[in-house]
Amino acid sequence: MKTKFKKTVYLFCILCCIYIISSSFNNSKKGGCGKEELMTEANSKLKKYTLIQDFPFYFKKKKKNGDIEYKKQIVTLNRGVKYKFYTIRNTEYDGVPIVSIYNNEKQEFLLGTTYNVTLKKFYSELEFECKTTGNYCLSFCFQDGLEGCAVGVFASMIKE
Amino acid sequence: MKKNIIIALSGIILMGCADSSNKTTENDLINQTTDKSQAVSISRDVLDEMMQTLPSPIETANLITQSKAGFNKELLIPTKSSENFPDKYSQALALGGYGVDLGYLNLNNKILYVVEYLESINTISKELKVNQFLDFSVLNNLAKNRNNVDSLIEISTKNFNQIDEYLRTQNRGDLSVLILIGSWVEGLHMFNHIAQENPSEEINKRIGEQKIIIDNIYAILNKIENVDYYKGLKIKLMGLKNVYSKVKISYVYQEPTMKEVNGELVVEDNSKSVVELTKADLAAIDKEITSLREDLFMTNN
Repeated sequence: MKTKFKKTVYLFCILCCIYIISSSFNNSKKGGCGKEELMTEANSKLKKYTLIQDFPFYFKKKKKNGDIEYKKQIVTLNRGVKYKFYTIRNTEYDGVPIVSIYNNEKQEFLLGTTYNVTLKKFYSELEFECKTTGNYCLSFCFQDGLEGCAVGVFASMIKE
Repeated sequence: MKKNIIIALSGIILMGCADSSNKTTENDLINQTTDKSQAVSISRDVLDEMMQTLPSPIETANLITQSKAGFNKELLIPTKSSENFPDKYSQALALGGYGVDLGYLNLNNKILYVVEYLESINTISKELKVNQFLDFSVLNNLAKNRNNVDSLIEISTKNFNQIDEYLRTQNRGDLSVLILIGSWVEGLHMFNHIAQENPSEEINKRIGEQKIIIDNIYAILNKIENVDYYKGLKIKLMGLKNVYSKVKISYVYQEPTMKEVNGELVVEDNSKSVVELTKADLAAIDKEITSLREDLFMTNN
């Protein structure tokens, strides 16, 4: 009886250790997933643009019959300014990132996306010439809901 | 066996202790700068998301320069004020204001004044304990060379982004919000000054469109008004908010034009917005922003 109890406690301790180690590993994977490396690549793609904000995002593979996960971000764009949106992918994951822009928070009209579903074609970046100052909605996801890690970039043309 | 159990248990306890001691150290660091009773009550994620609805200092400076009204140094916050801001809140607001001024100087190639404004920004950054992100000597050297304006803009924008990110990771994201509010106040003041000196439909429309931003600012302040300072700031902005409630903006959607250029998608927005504001509205906005700026940046002292 005493030996059985000892065995249970021992097993419990081992499981706790495994849990602590694996959870800390998973967290670092999700939180960072190589953001610094991705940002180096992101900065090199800016060219004439100035980085306004970066949006790291990570999603697990979507469940069967589940919905694709999205990261939504409202940004305010100014009339008369050119903006550029693109994503940098962590190639250790299968997910290919997509960024789309909608005309408002309610996502009423899709203005552009880096993936054309009809043509099944990816674009490296999306340049948007804004004609109306307002709140727009950016949406980030991975094609077919695969697991992925990426950073989305929002840049603006300062001084053309 | 017993020995093994003790070792395993000790391991877990030690790991737990190590973890909690780390947390305590982090919390201690945060508490050095944040009074717990005066901490904002919304999550970091929500605040981070909402902040993106406020324009950055460099974007604001760019819009002002685009108006082609010509350079006017009188529009800037005097550099001598930089030592007068008494607390972290007013310092953060001023940092945003000086950020726009620095961008405005850079974009107008007024290198002569850049060093002066960099010093003011450095003074405030030290007070806010974020000066480690300013490549002050690099910026200073770049400022002395007229051909380095692009690098100066790039590095100063990068430094501002680093400050913003650092503040947010330290649970001081509300100060990032203040930096953005400060830069917006400075920008709106500049737009109004330009509208008076060189009136045009274009600049009037730009001023009217700021209704969107003040609504966004209010949405954030509503979430953090549990802190006395933000409640007070909301009251200070009330006059401007009331004037802007008379401005009407209507949006007409038209399908955008898309074309592919070298593998990238170029989208040209064809939608339009109509901004309705009267001369009386413009005068009222000018009056409100002038007094607000004097109050926040202590420009009347």
